Amino acid sequence: MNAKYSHCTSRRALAAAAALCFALAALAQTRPYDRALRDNPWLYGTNSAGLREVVTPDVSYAELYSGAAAGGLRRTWESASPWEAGAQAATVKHLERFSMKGGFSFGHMSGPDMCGSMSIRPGYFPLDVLEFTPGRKTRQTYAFDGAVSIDLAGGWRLGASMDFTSANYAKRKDLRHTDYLLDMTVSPGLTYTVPSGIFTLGLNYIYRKTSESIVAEQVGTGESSYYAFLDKGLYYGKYEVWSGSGVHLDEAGVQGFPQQEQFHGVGLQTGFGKSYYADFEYLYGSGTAGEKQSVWYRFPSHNVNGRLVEIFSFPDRTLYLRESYEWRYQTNDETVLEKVVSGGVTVTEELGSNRILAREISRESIEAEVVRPGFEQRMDLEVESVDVTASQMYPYVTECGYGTWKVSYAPAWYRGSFDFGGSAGFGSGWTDEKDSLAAEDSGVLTEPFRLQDYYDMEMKYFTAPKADLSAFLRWNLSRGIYVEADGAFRHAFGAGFPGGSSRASATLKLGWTF
Amino acid sequence: MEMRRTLMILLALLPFVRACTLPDVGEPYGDTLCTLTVVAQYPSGFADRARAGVPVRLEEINLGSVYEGATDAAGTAVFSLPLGLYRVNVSDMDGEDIFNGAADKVRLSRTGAVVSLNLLHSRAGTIVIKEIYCGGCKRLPQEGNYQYDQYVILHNNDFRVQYLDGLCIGSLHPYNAMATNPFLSKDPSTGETVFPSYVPVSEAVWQFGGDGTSFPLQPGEDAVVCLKGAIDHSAQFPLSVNLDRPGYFVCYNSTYFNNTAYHPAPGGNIARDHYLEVVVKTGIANAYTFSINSPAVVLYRAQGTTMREWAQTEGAVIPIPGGSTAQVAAVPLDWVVDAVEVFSGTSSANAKRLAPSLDAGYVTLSDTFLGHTLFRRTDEALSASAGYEVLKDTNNSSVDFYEREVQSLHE
Repeated sequence: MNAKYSHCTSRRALAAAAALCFALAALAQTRPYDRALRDNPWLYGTNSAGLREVVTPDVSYAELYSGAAAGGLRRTWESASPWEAGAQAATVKHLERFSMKGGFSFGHMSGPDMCGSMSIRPGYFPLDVLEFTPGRKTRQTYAFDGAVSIDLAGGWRLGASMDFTSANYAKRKDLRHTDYLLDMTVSPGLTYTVPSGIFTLGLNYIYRKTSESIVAEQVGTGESSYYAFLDKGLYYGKYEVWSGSGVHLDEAGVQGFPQQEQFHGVGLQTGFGKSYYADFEYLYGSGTAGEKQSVWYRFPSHNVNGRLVEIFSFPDRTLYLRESYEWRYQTNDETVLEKVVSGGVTVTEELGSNRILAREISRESIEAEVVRPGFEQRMDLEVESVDVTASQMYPYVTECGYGTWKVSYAPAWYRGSFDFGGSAGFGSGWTDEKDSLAAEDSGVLTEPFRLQDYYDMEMKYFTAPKADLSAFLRWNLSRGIYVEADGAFRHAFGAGFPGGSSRASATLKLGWTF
Repeated sequence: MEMRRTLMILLALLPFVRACTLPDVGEPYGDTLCTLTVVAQYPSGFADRARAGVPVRLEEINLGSVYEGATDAAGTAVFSLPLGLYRVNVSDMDGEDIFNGAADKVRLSRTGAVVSLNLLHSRAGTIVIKEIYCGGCKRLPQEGNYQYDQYVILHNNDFRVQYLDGLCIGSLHPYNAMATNPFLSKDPSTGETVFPSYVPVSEAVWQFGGDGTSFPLQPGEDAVVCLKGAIDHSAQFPLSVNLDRPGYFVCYNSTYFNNTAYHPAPGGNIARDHYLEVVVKTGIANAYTFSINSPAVVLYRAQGTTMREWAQTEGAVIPIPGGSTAQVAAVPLDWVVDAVEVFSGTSSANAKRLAPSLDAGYVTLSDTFLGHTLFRRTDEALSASAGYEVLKDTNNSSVDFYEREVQSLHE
C-alpha cells in the first residue's frame, strides 16, 4: 500500500517496476494512515507482534486514484505515456488486548508502444526475457495484507502477518505474451518485554514464495520471424527466434518460462522503550527457472536486511532517524540437460551445472524526519550498488559494478483544510566494467551475444545525473473526505535520451479517512 | 544512553563502509573446468597420416559455443572446458582424401571425458549439392506461410562432364533432426553413436531418367530439382521463386503422390523427361515429405546394378524400427555421391543422422518460412585455377555451407 512501509522485498520491487513513473507523485500518500505507521518503529520491520509496541491512533482510509505520465526519460520497458488507475484501502486498529492492520488494493496500468522486458519486475530475477515489437501493454495488480498482534501473559506478544500480491501483465500484439505474478509472505512472530518495560526482544520466522510465468504466443504472421532475447545477466544471453530452444519460451513439456523463488528466514528485533528499534533478518532463497525435469537455471541467494530507528521527542517537535540496509548475494547456475529416450519415453537428465552469474546488490538509506504540529520535513539519502560477474561462455568474464545515489528533501505543511508540500531531489550513478578471459588458449571461436543497445540505454539511465521535483496539494473536505493532486517532474542532465531527457507525471486522488 | 547512541552510529555507518568494498565473487570458471581428450584414429592403411595440427572442433550443443584446437603428433587434442554436452568433429583433408570423424552428445562431466574418434576415409564428390531450399517463405501478400516451393540445386564440381542419368535424390529418416532416430544405437562400451551401414532414405527413391548420357552436366554447371511444384510460385507469392523454367527437373508422379496442393502439374517449361521417376515408394503419404526445417539430403547412385533391380532384393527396403507402417530404402553407404545434414536453428535437440564419412558436420537453418536457403561456399582459389565454379567440398557441411537470406533463384 505504502511504498515506504512495504517491508517485503517483493512489494518494493513490484512497486518500483510497476509505478516508476508515478513514484515521484507518491510523496503525499495517505497521510493520517502513513503517520500512524511511521510513529511505530516496530512497523519498520517484519515482526507483526510489534504492532502493539507503540499504540498509535486508529485510522483507516479508502482511496481512488488515477494518474498519467509522459516523457522520454524512462527505462527500456516503460511506456512513454502510460496511465494508471486504482483503488486502495487500509486500516490499523487497536483493541484492549488485540491489534490488527490490513489493506487491499487494485491497480490497472495501460501504456502504448511498450516492448523490452516481458517481466512485471524487470531485474528482480537474474533472468529476463525481452521482445521487440512495440505494442500496448496492460497490467492489473491485486494485493492484500494483514497483520495481527495479541497480548499474552507475562510480557509476551504473539503476532502473524500475511502479504499477498498477484498481477498479470499482457500484450495483445505479436509477439504477444502474458506474465503472471504471485508473491506471498507469511511471518509469525513473538516479542517479549521485560517487566520494567524498557527493553523488548522479538523473533519471527519469515516464509516467502514468489513466482512469475511468462507465456508467449504468435497468432498473426509477419514478413519476418519474431525474435526474443533471454537475458542471462548484463544483457548477455541468447537472441533468436522466439520459439527457439535457447530462449525457452516454447519448450515441450514446460508452460512458458516459469521462474520461482522461495525464502526461509528469521528476524531478530530489539527495542528500547518506544524510542529505539533495531532489527536484523536473514533469508535464504532458492530459485529456479523451468519446471519438472527441465530446470534450466538455479539461483540460490543470501539475503540480509537490517533497520534502525531512533525517535527523539522534544516539547515542540519529534525527530525520527531511520536507517535501512538490504544486502543480497545471488548466483545463477545454468544446468546441462540431455534428453534421453529410454524405453520409448523421453526423459531429461541433468548432467550438472555451470556458474553463469554472481551478483551482489546492496541498498542503504538514511532518513531524518522532523515532525512539528502543522509541519513535517524529511531528508533522505539512498545508495544502491550492484556488482555483477557474468560468465556465460567460457572463457569470457565480464565484471560490472554500477549504482546510484540520491538525496532528497521533502517538506509538508498542514494548514486548516489544506495539506501541501513537495520535494526536491538530486541523484546520480556510476558504472565500471571490466572484460577479461579466464584462459588465453581456450580455442574459443564464438563470442557471447550482448544486447548492447539495451545495455547502453540502461546504463545511461542509471548513471545520468537526475533532478526530481514534486508537489502535492490536498483539500480535506468534511467528514474525512479529501481530494488531492500530485505532480512530479524528473530531468536528466548531460546524457541524451532518445525520447527526451525529462518525464512528468500527475495523479488525482479522491479518498476518505475514517 | 550515550553508549546506545555510539552503538547506533557505528551500526549506521557499517553498511556504508560495506558498500564501498567491492565483492570478491571468485573465479567463475575455477571449479567447473573439465578435461576433454580427443584422440583421432585414422583408418587402417592410413595410420601414418596422424600428425600434429589437424583441426579439432567442439561445439557445446545447448549454448552453441565453439572451440577449436589441434592434434599433437600422436593425433590427440586436449581441451579444458566447462561441463556440458559437446559435438566433436575432426576433419582432415589431404588432397582428394578426406578423413572425417564426429561424435555427438559427448558428455563432459567433472571426471572428464576421452573421445576416441575413428576417422572415416572419403573423397570429394563429383556432383555435389549446391543449394537446399526447404524452409519455405511467407505467403505475402496473403497471410500465412508457403512451403510448396522447395528445391535442391546440384552442381558438377568435377573437371569432367558428369551425367545425371540414374542419379537418385532423397532425404533420410527421421525427417527432422530433432526427432527420435530409431536407426542409431550407442556402443555400450564407449558410449559412441553407432550409425547403420546404410542410409535410411525415407518416403521414396526418386531417380533421374535417361539412358546414361541424356542429362550431361558440364563442369561448373547446375541442375535444379523441384521437390514439390515446378510452377511459377512467385507469380502469386512474390517472396517465392519461379520453378517453371526450361531445364529444371521435378519430383512429380501423380500416381504415388497425388496431393495436388503439394504436387501440381508441372508448368509448360518443364520437359516430360525431366520428371524424376519413383523407383520405389516406401512411405504412405500422398505428398513427398521433405523436412522444412532440418532434412538430411542425400544423392546416391546404384553401383553394379540398377536401382530397380536393387529395390527388388531382400533388405533393400526395410521397416522403420518401432512399429511404423512406413518403410525406408536402405541405401549402401558407398553408393552415396553427396550428403548434407541440416539442423534446425530453433532446437538444441538436433542429432546427426549422417555418418561422418558422408558429412562430418551440419548446416543450420535458423528458422522456417523466411525464404532462407542453405548454400555451398565457392572455393575461390580452385575456381580461379580451374576456370569454372568449384565449390567447397570437405564432406563437412559446417565448413562447406552457409545460410543465405534469399533463395538463389529468387528474382
